[in-house]
Amino acid sequence: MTPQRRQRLILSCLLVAAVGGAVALALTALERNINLFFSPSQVRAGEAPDGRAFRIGGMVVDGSVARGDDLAVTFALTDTAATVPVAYTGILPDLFREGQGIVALGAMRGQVFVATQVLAKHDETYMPPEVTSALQAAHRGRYGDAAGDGYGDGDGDGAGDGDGAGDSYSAPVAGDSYDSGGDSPPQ
Amino acid sequence: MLDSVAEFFRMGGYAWFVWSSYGVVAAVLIQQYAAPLLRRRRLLREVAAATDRGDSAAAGGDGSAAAGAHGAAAGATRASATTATAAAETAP
Amino acid sequence: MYGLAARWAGRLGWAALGLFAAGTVGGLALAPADYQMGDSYRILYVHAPAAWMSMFAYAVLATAAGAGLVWRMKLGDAVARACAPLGAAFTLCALVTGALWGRPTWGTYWVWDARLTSELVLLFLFLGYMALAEALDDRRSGARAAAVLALVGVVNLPIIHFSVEWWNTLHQGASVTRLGRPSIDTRMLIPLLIMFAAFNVYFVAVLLNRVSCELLERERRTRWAAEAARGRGGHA
Repeated sequence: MTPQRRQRLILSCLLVAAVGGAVALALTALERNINLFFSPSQVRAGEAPDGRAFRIGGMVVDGSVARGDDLAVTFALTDTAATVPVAYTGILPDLFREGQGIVALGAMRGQVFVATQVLAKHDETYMPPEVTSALQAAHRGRYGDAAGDGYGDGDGDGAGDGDGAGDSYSAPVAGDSYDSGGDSPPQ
Repeated sequence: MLDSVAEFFRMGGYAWFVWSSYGVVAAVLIQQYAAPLLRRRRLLREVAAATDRGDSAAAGGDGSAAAGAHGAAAGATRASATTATAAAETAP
Repeated sequence: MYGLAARWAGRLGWAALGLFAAGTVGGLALAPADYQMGDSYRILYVHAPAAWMSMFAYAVLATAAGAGLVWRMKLGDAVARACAPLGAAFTLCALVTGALWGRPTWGTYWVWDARLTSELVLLFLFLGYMALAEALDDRRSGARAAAVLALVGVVNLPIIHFSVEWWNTLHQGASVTRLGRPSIDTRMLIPLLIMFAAFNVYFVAVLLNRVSCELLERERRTRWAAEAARGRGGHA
């Protein structure tokens, strides 16, 4: 390699490294803005903006969904450490169901998060319905009827999420504390 | 049989989203595949036309060529000129 | 070399067509529906490979552009220029199919989360590379300026890939490339892998076609170009 080429190679590598470092610093500084939502724990700890709209993300607590008149619905949102009640009026996405992850846009009004938009999150698990019901049956057989998992279907076995996939609310903690018995039916 | 075909195209109620996704991808991939092929065809035509011109120019530069040969070369120039025009017309 | 590239491009093109057919039939008809998303998850079979290829195309582009910059390799510049429109096309596919998948499942076409935003930045990187490579009259200085942009943009690749782990996003995590076994049922995985193969073979085929075009364009005055033109019936 000629000295000139070596120099160009070193310069190119330095360029990539310098830009990488600068971007890493910028992204770290902007972390709060890049995160799409706050967890219920963060909201409870007062980290969410006060009086301004923000997004909250978590798992819909099993058995907490209560429907009122005219598409009004209330439910509790949890990250397994803290729980925030949510009120919303409008059409919910297809994937909204108990035990499912959602992201809601809105603001705190007192102790209740009043949402203007509710988006459903889905995890990276793909499987056919038969497999899920088989898994559920096995699950129930093992733990008894009352032990339903708080994470929706199919996460009970080793293949589920919760191993560092980055979802703040998918920590592998047994979710019995707010379980009212029975899993939400698939589809 | 017909029902199951209709069911297939319905995609469980998600027909619009599923079929338009596949449609967009198919359209984009076909366009991307065709673009270099069309460009190559155009380029080859242009190169062929340029080669003909080059040949005839070389023949013309000979100077002491027989009249008959010269006439043939002139004819070839005219022919290649029409080819070049045709190539220019087909070019996008 | 030109002839070889063109011949292999043709073969790979047919292979890609076969794989696309198999993967599409497998994904749309043979794979079972998802337990949560029903049939809408079938968009996965075009969305995930397109998104993957958009990043792969950028990696190839940046490597080739870097080689062109450091070693003044003309072939490097030619490959990088060939990658750009193709990569932009993959990125566009990933964004459009993602929006069409997001609407029925999430409830929105678009959200400014880290994954979607960084993928949009990737599209702008491809477009910026194309614009810069064409912008300058002098082809070589254009290629150099564009190569610097390509190298700067490399930073975006790990951001796209790890965005779903570093930040909380609406987009879900990886299913296939995660450690351990993929969190996707085998019958659903097989068509997906076929589609991944199809996209890769297609990418190489189009790349070969584009590079052979670049070579032909650049060396149109040479003897082999004239022979190629005659051999392929340039008059027809």
